[in-house]
Amino acid sequence: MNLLGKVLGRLPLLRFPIILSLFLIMLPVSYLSLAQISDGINDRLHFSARLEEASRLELEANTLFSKAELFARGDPRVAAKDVQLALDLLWSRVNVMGTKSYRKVQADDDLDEALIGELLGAMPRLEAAVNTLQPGVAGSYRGVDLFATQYRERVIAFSDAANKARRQRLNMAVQTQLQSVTNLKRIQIAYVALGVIAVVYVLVELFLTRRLNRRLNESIEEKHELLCTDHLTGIGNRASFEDMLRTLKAISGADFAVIYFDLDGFKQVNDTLGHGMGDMLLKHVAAILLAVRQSDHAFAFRFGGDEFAVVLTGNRETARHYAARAVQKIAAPATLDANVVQVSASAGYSHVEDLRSVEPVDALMRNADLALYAAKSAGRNCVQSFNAGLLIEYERRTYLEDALSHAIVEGAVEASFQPVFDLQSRRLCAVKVVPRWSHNAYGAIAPAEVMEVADSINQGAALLLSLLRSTFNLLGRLTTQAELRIYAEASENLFSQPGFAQSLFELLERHRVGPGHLQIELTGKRSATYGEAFLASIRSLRDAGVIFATSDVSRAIDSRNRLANLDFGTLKLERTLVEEATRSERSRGIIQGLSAMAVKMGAEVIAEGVDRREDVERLQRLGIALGQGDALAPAMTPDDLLRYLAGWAGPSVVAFRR
Amino acid sequence: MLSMTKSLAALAVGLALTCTTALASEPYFTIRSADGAKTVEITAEAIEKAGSVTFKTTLPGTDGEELHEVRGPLMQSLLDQAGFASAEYVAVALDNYEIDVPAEDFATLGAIAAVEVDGKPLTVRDKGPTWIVYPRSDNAALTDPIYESRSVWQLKELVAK
Repeated sequence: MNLLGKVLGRLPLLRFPIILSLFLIMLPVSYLSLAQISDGINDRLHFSARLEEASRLELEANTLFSKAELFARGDPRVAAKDVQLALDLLWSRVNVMGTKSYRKVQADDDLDEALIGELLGAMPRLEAAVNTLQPGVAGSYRGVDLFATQYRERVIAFSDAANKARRQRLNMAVQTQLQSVTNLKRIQIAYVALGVIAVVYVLVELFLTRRLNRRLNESIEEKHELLCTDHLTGIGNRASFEDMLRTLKAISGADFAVIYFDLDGFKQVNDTLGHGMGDMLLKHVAAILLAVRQSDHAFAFRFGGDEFAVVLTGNRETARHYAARAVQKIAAPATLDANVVQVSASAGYSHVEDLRSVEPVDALMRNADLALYAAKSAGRNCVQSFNAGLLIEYERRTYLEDALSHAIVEGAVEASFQPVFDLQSRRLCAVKVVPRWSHNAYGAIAPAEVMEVADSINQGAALLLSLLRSTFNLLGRLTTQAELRIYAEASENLFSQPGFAQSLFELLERHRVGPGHLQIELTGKRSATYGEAFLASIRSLRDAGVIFATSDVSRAIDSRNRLANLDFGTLKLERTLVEEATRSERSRGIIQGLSAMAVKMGAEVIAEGVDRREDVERLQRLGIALGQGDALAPAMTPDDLLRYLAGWAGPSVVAFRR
Repeated sequence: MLSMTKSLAALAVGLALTCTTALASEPYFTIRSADGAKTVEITAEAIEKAGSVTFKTTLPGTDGEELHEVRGPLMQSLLDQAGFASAEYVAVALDNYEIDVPAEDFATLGAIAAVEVDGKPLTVRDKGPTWIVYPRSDNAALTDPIYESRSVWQLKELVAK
């Protein structure tokens, strides 16, 4: 049973060898059979011809004897040459009969072998007898007659035996022929059977191969589908999305759009309600995207995380409508597993018409991404269409990002200085350093943007350190710098970067910058938690005498500051607030309030954007300590600053630029 | 007188009888169409005119495997000369042995009408005066019994079918 199972199990592998060996066996078998049949035919020809000739011996002998007799009797029908010819023929026959192959046949068939030998010896005697024949002389026949008498009986017996043997041989031949036909038929049947087996074999192989191929294809399809499906939500994944774009791309003139969705607040759901709830929310959103599908063809995909995409056919308006409906539905509170969850979504879309003629369809992905980014910047929970401005801005931004690292290293980003004055004492008490970068293609880039771009490409620390190094070098050339403080801005996340605080610390040491001489304003996004690295940086820099500033009230009053020992020595009034103070009582009230708060916090207040003379006086009246702006002093290059400072007799001299 | 006449006659017969080879006027064999409409006698002149080839071969109906030098015109040459172009012929011997011979044996296999073996003109006693001989020493395929049966000796007649 086990063995049978093994053999059956190997049958697929044995099929071909079995067929091949059948053919290999069949070939010699049929060859031998056919050779046998052909030999039989040759044998028959051999024997038949010789026996027939043997049987003619009697006829030829009798012809000679009767012609000789007739000639001797003077019969006019028989001429001497006829007798001679008969003799020649008989002689020739006897000669032939005497050859080996003929003798062998005679021996095989029990003919009177001795006869031929005797006749050969007797032929000259017969010839002599024939030569004595005389026409019309009956007695001249005597010699031939004697010969005839001597041999006639034996010749007749010889011929009869030959005839009999020939008949027997013929009968045998018929038998053999029948056998041969049977054999041939068997071979034929065997070949037909073998042919049928071969055909069946080929068909089976074909069938099996096709079945195998089909299975293979099916499993490939299955795998493909699996690979193209987002496991969580069951909608397509990024691979299938790109596949879809390629498909649509191949259809020239296809009218379609790509929409990107990003959930706002998904992280909070995940963090507060758990991943299970997060997953349910993602499924919920996928269901909405599928449900919004109307008459048009729309295909939904998830890229991972909370990023979704939809490809839909139709015009730009269809896309906008779809995106708006989806965003609206996602923003509605959803009851998931007895929890009411509310998130919103931002959507950006780009229609195929947005593509410039040379752009590949893939550019739609970038466009949709830009639109999504714009939607998020515009406050989330909204839909933004792609427009050419976004692309121009994107390209400019990309260009700046690419160029800035080099610019910092090569010193192309220079320091620019804005003097800061004590509004009460009217003394110059600080300079604020900002980056000044003039780009060939885009002209002068605003300092805020340079800093922001630097942060985004992780070059914020390098930029700040570079600016401070230039500044310290510059001021090191002055003899009267003791009272001059340096103001700079740094994104909050820099303090979490390893090595930043240390580099800054070393820079202060090297230039012997005393405590209270460097003030850094924390800008940028506030982190949700203060990390270990951040706290350590703040601590070490504060110990080194660095003063921190902010323009962000919430940052200033953040309760975590207490834990981090983060004191803000300066509160900055934004330029917009200062400008509004001119015409807005409310703004003036806010300034007063902030100023009062700063006093309570033990912090100085500095006003930015003091560009008009009346601003100076108003701020003085409002009790603001410090100011910076065109009404006090313009932004300066390093050389300008040196000249400007040289004009001051000493740090205590205060004069306003008129 | 009578006896002298008789003896003269006997001499004449004897002369006639000893002269066994064909006379100059006597044909070697004839070629004719089956319906008898055309008959061509192959005489010594005809054989001379057709030219002859010589080759060495074993011969059927003889002992041993020794080679004999045979000479005679190509059957095809004789047929061309006599103006026959049948697809098949019947070769008939003096002893009335008959066999079908396809024309291609003459056209492609080089069968000759041998009139001389080992330099001696063939007589009836040694299978003459004409013997269809295949050059079977040059071509093993010709040793097949079928060609032996077509190697007609004492050829009397070739009948174009």
